[in-house]
Amino acid sequence: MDALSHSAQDYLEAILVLSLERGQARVKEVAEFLGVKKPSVVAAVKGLMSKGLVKHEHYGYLELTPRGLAMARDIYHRHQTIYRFLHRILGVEATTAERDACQIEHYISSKTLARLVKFVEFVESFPDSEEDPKWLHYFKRYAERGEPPPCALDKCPRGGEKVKSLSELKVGETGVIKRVKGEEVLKKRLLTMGAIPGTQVRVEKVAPLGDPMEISLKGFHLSLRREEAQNIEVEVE
Amino acid sequence: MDKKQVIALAGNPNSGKTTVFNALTGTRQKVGNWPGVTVERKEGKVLLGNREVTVVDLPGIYGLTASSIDERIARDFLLTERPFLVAIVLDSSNLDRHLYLPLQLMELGVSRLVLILNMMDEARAKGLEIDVEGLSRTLGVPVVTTVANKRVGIEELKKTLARELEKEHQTSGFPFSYPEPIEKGIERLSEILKPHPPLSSSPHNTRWTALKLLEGDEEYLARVQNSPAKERILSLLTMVKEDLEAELGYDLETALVEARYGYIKGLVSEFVKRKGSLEQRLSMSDKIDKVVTNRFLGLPIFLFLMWLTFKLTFSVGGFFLDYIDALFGFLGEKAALLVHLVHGPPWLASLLQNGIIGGVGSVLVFLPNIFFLFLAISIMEETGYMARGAFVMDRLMHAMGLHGKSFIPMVLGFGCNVPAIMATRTLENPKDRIITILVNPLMSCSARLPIYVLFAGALFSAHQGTVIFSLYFLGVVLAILLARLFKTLFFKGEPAPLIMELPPYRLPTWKSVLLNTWQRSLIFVKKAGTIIFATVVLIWFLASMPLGVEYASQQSIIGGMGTFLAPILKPAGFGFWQAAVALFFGILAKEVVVGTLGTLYGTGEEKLGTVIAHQFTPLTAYAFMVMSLVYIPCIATIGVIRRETNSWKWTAFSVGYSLFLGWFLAVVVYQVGRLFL
Ligand SMILES: Nc1nc2c(ncn2[C@@H]2O[C@H](COP(=O)(O)OP(=O)(O)OP(=O)(O)O)[C@@H](O)[C@H]2O)c(=O)[nH]1
Ligand SMILES: [Mg+2]
Repeated sequence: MDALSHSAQDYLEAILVLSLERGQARVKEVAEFLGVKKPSVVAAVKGLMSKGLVKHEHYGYLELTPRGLAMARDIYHRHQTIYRFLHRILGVEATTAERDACQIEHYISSKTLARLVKFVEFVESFPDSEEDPKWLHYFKRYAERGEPPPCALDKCPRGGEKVKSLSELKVGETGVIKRVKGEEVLKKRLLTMGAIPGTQVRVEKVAPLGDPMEISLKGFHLSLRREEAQNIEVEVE
Repeated sequence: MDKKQVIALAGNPNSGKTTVFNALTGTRQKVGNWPGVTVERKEGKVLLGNREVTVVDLPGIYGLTASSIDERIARDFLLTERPFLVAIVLDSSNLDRHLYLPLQLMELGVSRLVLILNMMDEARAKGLEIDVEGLSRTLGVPVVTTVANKRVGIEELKKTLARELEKEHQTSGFPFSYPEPIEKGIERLSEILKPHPPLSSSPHNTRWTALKLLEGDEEYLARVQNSPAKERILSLLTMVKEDLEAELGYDLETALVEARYGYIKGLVSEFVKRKGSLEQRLSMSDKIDKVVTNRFLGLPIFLFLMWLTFKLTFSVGGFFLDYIDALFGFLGEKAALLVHLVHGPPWLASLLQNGIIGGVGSVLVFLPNIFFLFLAISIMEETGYMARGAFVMDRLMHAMGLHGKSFIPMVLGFGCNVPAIMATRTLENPKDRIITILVNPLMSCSARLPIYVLFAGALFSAHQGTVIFSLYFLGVVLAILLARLFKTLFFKGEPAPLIMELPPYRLPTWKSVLLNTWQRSLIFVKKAGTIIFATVVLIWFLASMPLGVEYASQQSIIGGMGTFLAPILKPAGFGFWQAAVALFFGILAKEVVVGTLGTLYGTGEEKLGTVIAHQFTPLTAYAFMVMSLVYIPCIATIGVIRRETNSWKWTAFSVGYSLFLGWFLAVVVYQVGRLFL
């Protein structure tokens, strides 16, 4: 991939986006998409073809080879990650973030990028990722208003103060579901039965041998093993 | 079949679908107060106006993704057979959750819908007032209210169904849409799906496919795998998903479900008014539950209930036994006398007295025991204890390689292994399911009861109860040990989750409990009249042949068969030919073991008991009972094992291991016992 020039990468990405959205990519469309002249597209495509990344089926239609597709996806993913880092984490406004992402994606080393990916993943993997983790929240306030953080970074609890897993609740305690995670089948089942964010749950009792537990939500009772209950994050009063 | 002739009943588990089905069609399909009673589709007929229509009762489902076999049956029927009309049965006291499935079906949009708000009595007791009109208008589908177990509202339901079948046009479109960004994503995806017919047969269907793909539905993803445009669709899907998730801030699947439930919440707050005191009925249920599943009392109560069932079956059932027995003895003598009086041939007298009345009668004698056994099981089923049992036992079951939900098939196994094995369909994990199927025949079914009662009565009169209990107990212990063993041998792996709804306790009506009990007892009587009757006649015939031989002597054909088989049983202490043929024919149905002995030894249980007391010692009798418990599942059970595992290998394994184990245990009992006695 290192052998590919920046503009070649842009062309690949453009062909990917176009063929996904419109089902096909033609030289003309690529030119419009990138705001360049047709002859430059033709020249670039020739280069890509010689590298075996693009097929020129019949005149005008461009198609990515499997290798080209993989590469294009990679580029797209890289672009998205940088965009998310700028926009969601640093709080840069969307259009600027988009434009800068286009630039940065070409200059960043793969090592730095890998770290950046990890960082974005890390931040987004915080429970209730619909909200910023507290420390990030404080960072944005600092960035925008110069407000110093109210607590030392390592003492800042994440999200709301009292997020626990459902299995940690005691009999008789209630909580509001923040997130359901875990294995696909399990998650789907719980969601379908109405265990969605914002729903109130109560631990009714625990079976004689300590497992499973019985919870109630939306007016009905459900039995769950502790192991499964660990996948439900709740916020406690 | 004319499409207009099919109405499907769908709904969440335990919402009362089968109760509605029975009320509509006049049948008596099994109803019970736990989720997962119905595990296959059942058809019936109902007369609507002057047209006969097929009604299909389906297993319960929560949404349109299925994780167990019963759910798959319901889902596939709705999705692929596309019944013309789907009547959705909802628990009115819990519309918050029950409206989810109708919403999904509306989005799918292949069938006309009618909503049946069932359990209106419970909604009223909870102080809920439902604006039926308003709900119907907003959703654009007819809504009917019922109390199905009291047949309230059934006539009105029939009228509505008839009207809906006649109606020309499908009712208006569907009012619900997702938040703006999601709708855009659906559109983007639909655009690319459109030119691919298998994925999008109509605009509506395109939208549905797009939604399912966004939701991450495995089946639809698999369909895309077969499409020529697979690469492009999948890439766009990832893109749309990534964009949406970045925008919404969390995963799309949750967002979609949340949007639907959000809409339902709106509906409920608009059309359901809560008035008066809080949920009295539910708190009543909660109070019972506090005791029954209590940390300290839960297990003792469970054991007590089991003991009570047992006690009821033997003491109360046994009370009637002598009378019925005397009746059959009397009948046998009279029949023989009658044949004699009219100068009928002596073989006819023998057939009647020895064969039919001796054989069938010796089995039918146990009808009262069986009746009480079924009564106890019916009560457990209808009160809601079944699901609690699974809840209380899960940890134990888990430790021994089974699943909490396996508890239900195990208890049902005390009645009959055939429906019990069917009931394993609710187990999500195929491994759990096969283990449960393999050990289920070890639960002493009602057909083994006559054997125990007969032998224990003849040889252990003082300790009859203890002896019989020990056999039930042995069955359970063996099931546990083997489940553990099979798990480690064949089915290592992760345990499946236990996500099970616990229904509220309901006071069953006597009528429904008795009808349920009666119906199952009737099956036993029918069995006596068919397979047991036929076998007994066959045995009588084999015992009378060749001509001129002394009836039921070793020189008869059957005597020859038995003599051939008997040596195998010698190490177990009962190596005489009658025991061998009884066990041999017992494969047809376990009652036949008693029926065969009855035919060979003569009339009535009293006499039979005496003969047995002569031929067996307590030790050999116990060995014989152990063998009868374990040695092989009956033909019907073998059939259902084959069907449910869909594998000859497991069927053969089940037969093989039980034959060997039964024989082995009988030998161990006898040989070890001999050292001490
Ligand atoms: N109070 C009340 N109980 C009802 C009503 N209808 C059904 N029941 C009871 O609800 C329980 C469940 O009924 P079923 O008909 O077995 O429910 P189902 O929907 O077929 O259940 P599955 O087959 O397990 O999905 C039984 O105990 C019924 O007696 C009703 O209108 N009011
Ligand atoms: Mg049912």
